[in-house]
Amino acid sequence: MTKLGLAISLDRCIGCQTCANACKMQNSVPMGMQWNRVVTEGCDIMDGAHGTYPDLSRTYLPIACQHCENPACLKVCPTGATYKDEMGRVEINYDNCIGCRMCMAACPYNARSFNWEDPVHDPDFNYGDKDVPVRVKGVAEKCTLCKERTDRGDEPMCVKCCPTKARTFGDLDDPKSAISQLIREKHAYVLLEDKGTKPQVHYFD
Amino acid sequence: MRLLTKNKLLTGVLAVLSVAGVGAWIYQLMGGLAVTGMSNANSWGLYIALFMFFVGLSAGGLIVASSASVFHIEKYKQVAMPAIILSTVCICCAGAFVLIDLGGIQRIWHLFASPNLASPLVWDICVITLYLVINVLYLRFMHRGAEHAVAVLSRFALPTAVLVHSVTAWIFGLQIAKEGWFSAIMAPIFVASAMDSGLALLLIVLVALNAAGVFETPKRLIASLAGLLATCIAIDGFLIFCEALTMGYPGAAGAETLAVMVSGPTAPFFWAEVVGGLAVPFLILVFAKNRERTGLVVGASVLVVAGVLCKRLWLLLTAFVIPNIVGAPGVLSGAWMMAGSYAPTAVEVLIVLGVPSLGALAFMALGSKLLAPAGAEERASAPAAAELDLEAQTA
Amino acid sequence: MGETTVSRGALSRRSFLKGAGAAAGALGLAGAAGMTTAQDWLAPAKAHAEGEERVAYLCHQFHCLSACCLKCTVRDGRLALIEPNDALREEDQRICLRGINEIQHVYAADRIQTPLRRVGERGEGKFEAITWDEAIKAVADAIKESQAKYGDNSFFFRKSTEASSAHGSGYLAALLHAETGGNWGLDRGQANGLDAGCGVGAFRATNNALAEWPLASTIIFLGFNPLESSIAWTKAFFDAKDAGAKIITVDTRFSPTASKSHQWVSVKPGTDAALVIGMVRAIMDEGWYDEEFMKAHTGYPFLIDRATGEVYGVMRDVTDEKTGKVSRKKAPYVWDVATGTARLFDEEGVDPALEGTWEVDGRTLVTEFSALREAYEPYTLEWAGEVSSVDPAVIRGLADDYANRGPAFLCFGLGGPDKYTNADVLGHALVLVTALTGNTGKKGCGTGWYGGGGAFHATSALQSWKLPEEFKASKSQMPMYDMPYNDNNVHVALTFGDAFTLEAADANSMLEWVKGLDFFAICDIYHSSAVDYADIVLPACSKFECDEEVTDLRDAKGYLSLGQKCIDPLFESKTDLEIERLIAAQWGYDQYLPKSHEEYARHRLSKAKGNIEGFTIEKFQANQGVLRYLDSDEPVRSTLKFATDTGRMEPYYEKQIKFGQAFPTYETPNEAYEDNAKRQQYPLVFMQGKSCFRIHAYYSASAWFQEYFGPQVNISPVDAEARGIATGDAVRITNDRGTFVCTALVNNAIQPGTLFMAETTYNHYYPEGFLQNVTNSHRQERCYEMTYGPQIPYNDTLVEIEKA
Repeated sequence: MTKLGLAISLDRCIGCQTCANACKMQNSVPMGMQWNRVVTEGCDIMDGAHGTYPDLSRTYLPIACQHCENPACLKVCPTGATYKDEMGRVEINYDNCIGCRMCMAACPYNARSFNWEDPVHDPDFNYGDKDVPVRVKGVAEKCTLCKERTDRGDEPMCVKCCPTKARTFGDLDDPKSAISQLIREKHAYVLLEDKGTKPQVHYFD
Repeated sequence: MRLLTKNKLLTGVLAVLSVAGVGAWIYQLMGGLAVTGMSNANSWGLYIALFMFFVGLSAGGLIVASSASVFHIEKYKQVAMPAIILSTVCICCAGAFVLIDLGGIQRIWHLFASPNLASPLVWDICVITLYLVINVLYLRFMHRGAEHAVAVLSRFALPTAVLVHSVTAWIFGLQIAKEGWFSAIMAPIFVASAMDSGLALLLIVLVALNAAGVFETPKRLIASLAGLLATCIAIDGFLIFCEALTMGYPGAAGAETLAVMVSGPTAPFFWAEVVGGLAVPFLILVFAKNRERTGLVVGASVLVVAGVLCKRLWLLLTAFVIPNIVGAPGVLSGAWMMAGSYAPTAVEVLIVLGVPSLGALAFMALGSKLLAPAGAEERASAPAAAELDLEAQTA
Repeated sequence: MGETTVSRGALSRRSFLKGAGAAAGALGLAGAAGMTTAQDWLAPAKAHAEGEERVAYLCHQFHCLSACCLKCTVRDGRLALIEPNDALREEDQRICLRGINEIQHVYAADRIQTPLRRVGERGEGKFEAITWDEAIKAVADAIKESQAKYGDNSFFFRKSTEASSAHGSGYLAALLHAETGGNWGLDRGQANGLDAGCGVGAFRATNNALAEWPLASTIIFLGFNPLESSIAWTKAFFDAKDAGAKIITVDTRFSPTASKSHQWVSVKPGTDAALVIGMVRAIMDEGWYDEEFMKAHTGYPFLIDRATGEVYGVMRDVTDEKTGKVSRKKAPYVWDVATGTARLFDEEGVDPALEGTWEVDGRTLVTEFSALREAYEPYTLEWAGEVSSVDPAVIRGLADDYANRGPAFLCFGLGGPDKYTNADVLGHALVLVTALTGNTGKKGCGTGWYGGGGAFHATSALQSWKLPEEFKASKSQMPMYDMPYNDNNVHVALTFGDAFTLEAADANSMLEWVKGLDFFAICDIYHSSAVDYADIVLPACSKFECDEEVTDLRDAKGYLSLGQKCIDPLFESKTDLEIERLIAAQWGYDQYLPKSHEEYARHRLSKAKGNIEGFTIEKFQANQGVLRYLDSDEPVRSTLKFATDTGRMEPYYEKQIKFGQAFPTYETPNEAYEDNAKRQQYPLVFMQGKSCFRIHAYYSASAWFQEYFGPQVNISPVDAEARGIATGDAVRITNDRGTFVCTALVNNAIQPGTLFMAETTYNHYYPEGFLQNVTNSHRQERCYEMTYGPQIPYNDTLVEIEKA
């Protein structure tokens, strides 16, 4: 079996938002939405810091869909629009989405965005990968692990563009893959482990 | 159509609100849910709160009516017809709110074509449909006077009523993502809330029908139902206390959520319910003497209904206030504030007023057709004010 | 619930309206092909339109100097996807959010679409659309009239950093004998102080690339924040970290770079020189200096006359090895230990003393090193600690790490400590500390600016376009930033890009002067801050647009890149080359300019030899627009030969004796110092720096970036609380020079007593005014005698902030 996932080095993440913008471009993500973004942990502003000057620390945390092995969003989806594909990715069949937003309530990571209105693109056309499906008003969307790229054997766009090579993409089921080795060696962890969702996106310091 | 034609002012107001609501819904269909105050951070709002609320309201009727048969409480049989009509109308309102909340209603056929049986929403739709069918059959059997059929049906009706609240509760209670929802006590709380708000609404309606001279309910029965209401309030209050204690005691994540509830943005709703919707009506109805006074019973009932509405709001919205991960991808809102907040828009308010208005009209129409004339048909339409009051509360 | 609603719907819906006749004042909103996304709401989710796709390659390289080679997918004539060019070696492929966001930014609503003529007052921003013919004629007529009336140098021409500098930057100025505004005043603050000591003649002191960072044991960043300013190069930072280098960042702000470093040293603004002087003192006191290096490669053993301070030496003719030119230079004496006599420093067999005092011919001679010890007697670690507010033990630790751990880098930034009036003192102190430790000219060390990756192999074989002899720019009267304050002959100005508000501080004075000009025309891509003041506005196109298949030939750090056209020029915009040719044609001078980018590129490649031997346009086209320099496999390395009179690193600046700066003498900045009486009224230091969302003001127009970034000032919680300011509040920042309003972000990372804001943003995005209204334009007098002239001290600024 193949179980695709990501391992992200928080030490190497510099909070530059390149992955967020690469994702927005590749997937034609409309204005007002992000599938992927980098937050400054524990801060309500970007590039804030923890502590009192000058005793400070800062951790950037890139977040997108965690492609859980036990996805909370999948179970609650009434139409089966959300599904786990044979490569271990959590995907959405937009045609089947009735816009009930059960998945959004269910996702512990707030990974999903909803098309509250007709998607607004700026520039006003469907930029991005030509194979990425167009989404319409009333459907949920989120990181697909760049399904269209990874199906072609490429890395996700966020991985390709990351200036510090903080992101590693690969097959978690292959113990010899670079990602599996990294997870073992760096004692990587997952977000909100206690929720039992078993994310396939791993983080390490 | 007596109720409609006799109360022209009320009918007119309800009709206007209904039309406005439908208009607002069409506007929403065109513009998408963006016309509501919902956002990626706060992805459910008034519609879902009202859905929960109306599922609950529909309970009182069916439970009272079916208890009459199941537990042979003869006196309840008298009010079975208005109770079932109320129950039917309310469950339709609840269903309407689910549909209104859908962002892609035009694709709803997928729900039937490829249902995911693991989804609590699918369970709920099944149970609500079953519940509606039972209600309609009930009405039909009662209208025809088919006593035996009613007796048989009520044996299914009672568990279905309990199930419909439980399943609605599970839509929330099974969500591991939301600290404020994820709790085994959610289903009992929903049943208790349904019992008290449903009973309270039934009492209000019975008194109103009484006043309108359409249907007469013996005062003793009102007092008896009021007693049952007091018991339900006590149970509801107890369960909420259990939940709050469990949330707060460990001082962990649950305590944060509790803090939002008791002193944060949703606190006004929480305290309105605890004080106005539980404590005060309980203290009124716990005394037998008070239960004899129709005015006090109606007043307490109005408080209970309003209180449960407040509860739906705090229960729903509290869970959205503290995201597990601040500023997660779905939560983009402006330059720096990454958490979301929610305030309903005019469109939502219009729709939320329109649906119960339509429901009230339906109730009046059905009532006119199905309720036995109470003899005093010629009575003036002045008491309609009581019903107006009811509308204001449910809205 | 209740108070504020989420601003999801608040994003303005910009649709592209077609129309060249942009109404007065309504600049910039019309647009490209009116593609809409109206989808049938019942339609199934289809893949994107099966449009025709093609790819084009170009080098992004705006003034962040990252030179990212990009692969651009164009679908239906629109930019659809931008990725790194995969023809480069994998380790050289790079991109950052700024390159990616061009998907939107190229089409931004702020694009200038047609030539415009001012119809309102200057600064009012009211324009009418005119034709190219009208616009060019108006520009040429104004220049001709002024030059006829006031002389050639009454016409000022400048290509700003925001504009394309790929071709012809000097040609139009030369053809029209323009005044070019002399010294730049940017980024050369430390360089003024470094130049005399290292003699590199550029603002990057030592000559290697950050590829050597992993070879270092210690890397000190002095006001350098590459993790935001040079994102595409940050891999080297982590490679160095992985390789075990200790990285220390000195910054007033807890910058992203500081937070990723092993150690962050918080320093008071404008006092970096004191910190480095403290390091010098510690290294001297502890004996951590490298005697061998000092004797062999620096001026420390040179003798100076105690009475006059002059270097004791003889003037002699020196022949340049390369050019054969003969010049007279001073050869200093050293004290030869073996013979006990003063001998010329470069005599055979001299064994120079590093310290000591001797009497020769009635003069008291002392080595530079001894003189330094004496001069620095007052500069104790405690003093340095007090001035910089850095714990003396930390300063000592910095010196220890720098001097004793092995090869070390000392990297300074452009956009921090260089933007104070004492930056030359800092630069000079850097020479001292480098010369003491010998952290230069070897593998894995260096002192300098490594922004843009440091030094890479480039080529000298590209042919320049030759103009006939008579075409030369006028001799400059004064730097542009001096013009508002001194009489000059400038009456007419043409700038490509916004020079007036980016390359000068105190915008009110500058723009007042601009308003007084007879005529001002600007050629720009976006509606930048200066546009409102122009009489004629010419729409330039971005680097992604061209009217021919090839565009610019550029150095791409280890590669040479020949850009390809991605899309046609949008709206009525034109390439810089075409605009320059149109203007030159008004004099009949277009014959002297290249007719096309291709002709220009062919000319430049006409003698392709050395490390570009055999490079042809056809080869570029066959290899995705890039070719790697033939010598790129060998790393660039600094040498121990310095371009000073002695060929050594020279710590003692004889020419600055009159300023008391023969050795760096600490002085406070012009305004931003502790005891300044102005602090009563304006207690906060206002600093600006780089952000990942900007290169200076560029990308202000990006709708993608606007989703989370705009004119925002960061303030410490201490200062915010004292003034009742909360995140999201509109705040007014004021001093005697001016005022502006922006949004406040309360940020723990900010040093109390300071404010931090990303460098500028087009003025119309502020509720009122803009950042440059308050910045300091003081010109440090002594710097007029230095290589680069006074540095504009943007950060040397005191302000007060209040809720607006």
